[in-house]
Amino acid sequence: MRGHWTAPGASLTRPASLRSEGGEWVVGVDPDPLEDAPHGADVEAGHSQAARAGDAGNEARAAADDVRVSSRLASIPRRLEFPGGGCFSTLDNDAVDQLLGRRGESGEASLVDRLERRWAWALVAVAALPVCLWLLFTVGLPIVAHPLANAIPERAVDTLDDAVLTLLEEQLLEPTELSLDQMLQAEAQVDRLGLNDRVDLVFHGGGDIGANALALPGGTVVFTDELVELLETDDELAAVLAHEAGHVAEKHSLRNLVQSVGAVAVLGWIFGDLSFVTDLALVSVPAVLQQLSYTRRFEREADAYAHRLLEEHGIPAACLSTALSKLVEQARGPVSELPSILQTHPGLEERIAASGDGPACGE
Amino acid sequence: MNENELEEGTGGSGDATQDGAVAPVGETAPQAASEAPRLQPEFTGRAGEYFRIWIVNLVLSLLTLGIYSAWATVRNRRYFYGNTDLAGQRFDFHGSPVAILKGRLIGAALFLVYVFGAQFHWAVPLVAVVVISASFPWMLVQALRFRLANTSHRGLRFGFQGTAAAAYRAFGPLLLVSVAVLVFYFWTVGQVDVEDPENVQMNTMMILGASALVFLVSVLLMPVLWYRIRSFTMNHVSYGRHLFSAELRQGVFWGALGAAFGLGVAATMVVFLVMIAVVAVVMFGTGAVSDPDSMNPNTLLITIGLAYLLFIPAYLLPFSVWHCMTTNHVISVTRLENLGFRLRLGMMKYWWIMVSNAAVAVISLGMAIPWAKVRMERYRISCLEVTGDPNVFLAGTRRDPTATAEELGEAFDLDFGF
Ligand SMILES: [Zn+2]
Repeated sequence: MRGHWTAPGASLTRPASLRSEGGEWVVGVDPDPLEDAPHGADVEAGHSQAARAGDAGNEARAAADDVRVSSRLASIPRRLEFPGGGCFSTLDNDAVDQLLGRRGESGEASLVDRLERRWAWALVAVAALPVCLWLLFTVGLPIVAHPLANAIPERAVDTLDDAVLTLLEEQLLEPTELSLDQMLQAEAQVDRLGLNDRVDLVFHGGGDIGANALALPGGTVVFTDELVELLETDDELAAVLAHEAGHVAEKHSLRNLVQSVGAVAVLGWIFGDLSFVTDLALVSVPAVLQQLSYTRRFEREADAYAHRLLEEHGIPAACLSTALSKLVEQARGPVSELPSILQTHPGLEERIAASGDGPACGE
Repeated sequence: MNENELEEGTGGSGDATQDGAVAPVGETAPQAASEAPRLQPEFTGRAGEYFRIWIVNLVLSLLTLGIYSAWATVRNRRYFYGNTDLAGQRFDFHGSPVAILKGRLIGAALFLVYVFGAQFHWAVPLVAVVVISASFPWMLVQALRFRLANTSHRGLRFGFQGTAAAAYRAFGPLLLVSVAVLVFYFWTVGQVDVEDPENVQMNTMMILGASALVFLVSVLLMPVLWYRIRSFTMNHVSYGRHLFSAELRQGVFWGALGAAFGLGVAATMVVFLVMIAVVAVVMFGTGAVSDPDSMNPNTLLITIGLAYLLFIPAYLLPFSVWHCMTTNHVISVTRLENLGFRLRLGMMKYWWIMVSNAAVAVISLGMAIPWAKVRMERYRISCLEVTGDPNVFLAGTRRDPTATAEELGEAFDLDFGF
């Protein structure tokens, strides 16, 4: 087979051919048409070393088993490293495989090479890629995120609550303008549902977010003034409170944090050697989509928790639906017109259906 | 510094090979010393072939929960090195996946500390930035040592002869200044009580002043810092027993900064004008000017979103200008014994390839990434020219081989891509 021979110890490389003789591989270096060395001492040194490398002037030989052969990868040249330090390289990959014969190649490199060579396997991989990513995001990460979220110490979570609340007060929320009676009415629901140890209810003017309720990881629940005014009845207030308590109990914010950081980390890890633009596009798009789908799943979990809690305290589960309908009614805006994959909340009908066939609210 | 630039260090140093047109090595008479042969390196990778390698290794990485990704990196790199041809001979990459795994674990740990820490305390990212900056010279040396020692051409290994101590001497003080400025900035912002109604004007002035100072200092530091870093790295690359040399000129870095800044400002202004024009056309077209309520809010949202996308090419323009001007200079003043190098990246062409690559990659849902990478690499290699005879180099190390082996044991691969 044809290739190039690089003598040990120098960069001098010359055309050569390799043949198998019994158990030995022999490299024959083509004769140099111009024996007189070009310029410089380095060159002569290189030439003489190259010459020494061949036993009989222009030959190098070694037992086949002593030659280290690089693994095949696409059509890049194979390196056949001889014990003395010389190296025969050739583009004739098939001939090398033939020469290796039964000794062949082993290990993961040859398996991967076989996969890489066929378009059929590449197509299988194309099909498998979205399945793998989907499994990773919907099954793998949530499984890992749950214990991790539980492992975050209580103190750290409280610090987080304070930090987030301060940030919200600065950027989003306004001081409350509710009357004392209204506050007491809402506070009474915490007692009624037995959530005193777990929930810390605070009130704020909603500003741009209007009627809304927020649950922070450490148990702080924010009711906006607009919300308290919108949901006049005790039962409806209790229902929304129960839903938010569900977020707290299931540690949704923390799991969300762990999962979204995990998603970026995993993708960054696997797509690690991309240039930054494609990196950004590939990482951010699925991250945003999966973020939204987590949020929807969390809403369903919080609803289920609320239904249980409400029923335990003799409040119709339907009150949550009523309260949600009111919220959706007054919030009708651009968000509700987006396709469902881009909405953070599952469809209202779906959530109302999930509340079951219990008694209607307010009866 | 990202992988591309690391590779360039390798490529620039090593892309010394002669091209087919000049005749295969050893078969013709070497030219007279006065007119050194011109060698045109070539990238021979093909998009279809690389696509199969890329996708198979990607899925294997996912299936093994990321562990295989280090082996995947080795195969990807071997493909690119093995398809870079200089004087009829290809480059080789010999890196071990375990060292790559080590580097990735370090990178992932830094990332997690940074992101999670930020949620719990504002000072954590600051500390992380300080730690990362302080260890940057050391990490850079380790990464270059790994990358170069595992690169070979014509049977000879490249190497990196710089030490961490030398790196700290070369650009440590400058890094210190940058970090000090950053700490000062966060400290100032942390001190100021934004809500304090009595001192609103005063506080705003303080924050604005601090921001301006930080911006100015970092802009002024950048050319000097990069000049020092690239000068340090280029002058410590070895091939066999030979050492590369490059006499960089700081003025080029200042020129690149000026050009990048000017073009960046111009591009941003153009994008703003286009955005305003598009929004205006949409407003008039839908009759929203006379009756704002008739406007579908989604239409406006989508229009602004699309216009916003224009910022990506605008932001890539100064990056491309800076990268091409500085890299062209660094490579073109580099010498290795009798070899000379010349790099002529066209900044507009480079920019266009980056922008169109990104667009195609996104539109194809990532499936065109291999094509994009091959295209960029082919362009970069085609801009390089080497003069001289690559046949004359000798093996050997400049340092105690056992010490080198030990250091290599500690070496790891870092992509600096984060
Ligand atoms: Zn909710």
